[in-house]
Amino acid sequence: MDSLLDIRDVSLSYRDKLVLDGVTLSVARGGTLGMIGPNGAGKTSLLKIILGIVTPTRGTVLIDGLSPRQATRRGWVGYLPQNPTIATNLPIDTRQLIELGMAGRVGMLHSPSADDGRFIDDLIREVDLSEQLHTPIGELSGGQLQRALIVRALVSRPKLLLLDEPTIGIDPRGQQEFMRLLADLKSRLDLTIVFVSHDLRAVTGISDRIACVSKSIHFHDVPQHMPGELVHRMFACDLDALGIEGPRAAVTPLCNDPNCDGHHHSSLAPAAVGKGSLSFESDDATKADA
Amino acid sequence: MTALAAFSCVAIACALLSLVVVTRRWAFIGEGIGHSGFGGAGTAWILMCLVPALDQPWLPQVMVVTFSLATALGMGALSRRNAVTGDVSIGIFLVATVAWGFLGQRYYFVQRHADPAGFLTLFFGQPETISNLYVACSAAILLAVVTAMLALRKEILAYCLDPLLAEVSGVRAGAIHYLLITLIAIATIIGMQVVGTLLVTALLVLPGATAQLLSRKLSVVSAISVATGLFGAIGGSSIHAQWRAIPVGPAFVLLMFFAFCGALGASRLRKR
Repeated sequence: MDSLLDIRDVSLSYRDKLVLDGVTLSVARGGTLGMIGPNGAGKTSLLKIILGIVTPTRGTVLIDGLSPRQATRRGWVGYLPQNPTIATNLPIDTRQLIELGMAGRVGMLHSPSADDGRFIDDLIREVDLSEQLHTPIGELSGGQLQRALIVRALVSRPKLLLLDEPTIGIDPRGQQEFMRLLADLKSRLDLTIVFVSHDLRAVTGISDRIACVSKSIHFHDVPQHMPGELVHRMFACDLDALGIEGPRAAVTPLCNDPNCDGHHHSSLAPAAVGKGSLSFESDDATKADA
Repeated sequence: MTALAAFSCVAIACALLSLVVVTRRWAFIGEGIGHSGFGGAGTAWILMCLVPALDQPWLPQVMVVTFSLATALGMGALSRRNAVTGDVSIGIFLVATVAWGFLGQRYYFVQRHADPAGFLTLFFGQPETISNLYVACSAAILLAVVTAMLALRKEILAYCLDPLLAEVSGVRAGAIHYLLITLIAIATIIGMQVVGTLLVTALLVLPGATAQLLSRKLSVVSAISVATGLFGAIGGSSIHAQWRAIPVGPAFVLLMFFAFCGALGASRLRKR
């Protein structure tokens, strides 16, 4: 397998607290890894290690053979953070926000090249932000700002795109549109994606492999092989918070295959979540949905 | 005219940095740096009592600059490492240095039975005694700020937008952070001569805050910010020239405050 991202035996401790323990993962070039896990499982810390912002206590990370810091400096990594805390009072417009994604690579006193400019224009059209090009960032809606930040993450033509909870706070329709957009961008730009989310529907819809992280890796395989029991263990807190009682008993994987025994098709995208019940739909159905 | 030129240089430099201060929510930082100068002066007053050979008029000034720069970098390091939040780190340094300054002043008073020279002017500024060195320093800080803003425009904007995203975009966010902190510290130190430690924050906050009420376009915001600073500097100096009883510093700050109130009213009217 030609892997773009190689994580080998990575551990991380903050003071005495072990955050990650011996994590080993790889993501194939052009692949999409969905990363799930409960709150505080170390997912965002792992992303920060991949970005080179946090140095692991032990282990190595290579992005196409380079260290995270080298890869980041070359623009190989795009990143959409969880709840970006950008200063929307900065007096710049959408176009300037996007162009700042190249700030570290263009060089002092230089503007993006004509070729970069055309690429940015294409991306802006693709995410349907042409009309907001000169809108101050403080006047963009949440969805528009998120699309602008996605373009910002892509302007350096990265090989690897890291998305941290990108669908959080977006309504279901917006989520579907976002997932469709992501799939389009992925195929067009030949991206490798690491997608961290609590949204099982989103993760299973776009990922060709899934990693369950809770300090260490509990599962790293194709979504179809993921046991439902593991999902419930990973998301016990979230299910409790949603008021879902006895989730294990409520798991009824839906499958178009009349011979399905409920084990081979457990991609586990929640189709409907309501008090006291939880159902899942098949992988194929989820992908079609997305 | 020399003093006016110096005030204008300081006003423009602070107005340009004001955009960073307001965007990054560093309003409190000028306060912290300004007051830490008092800790430096306190150290100088203690040294002047303990070592008579050091009883020189330049010592408090050297110590004010040293303390202010050291405090600025200390606050910058603490907030960048997330050891404590930015406002907490400023609060910690502010109270510690002011307490130390008062201790120095009290020690000097007990030893010499008089307040140290320049004690009050440290609080309220000393714009009447502008030296050629001060004029040169004002021009130098303006040149440094303008050069940094032009040469590192993209990097500074990316940092102001979000330091983490800037780092991921290949910007050396740490270097930009310390560059901005250092420029703000130097501008604060020079501004202290005009308006004193108590009011110096106004030079770093009011121009940017006023400009952001009136526009969301970078070039326009920068121009309004500079205009507000110049309005304060030129207006304050003119008022002082006309009515000697009104000091330059407070007039400078109040004029900018009135400009801010006007901008606030205009922005409210526009929203209706």
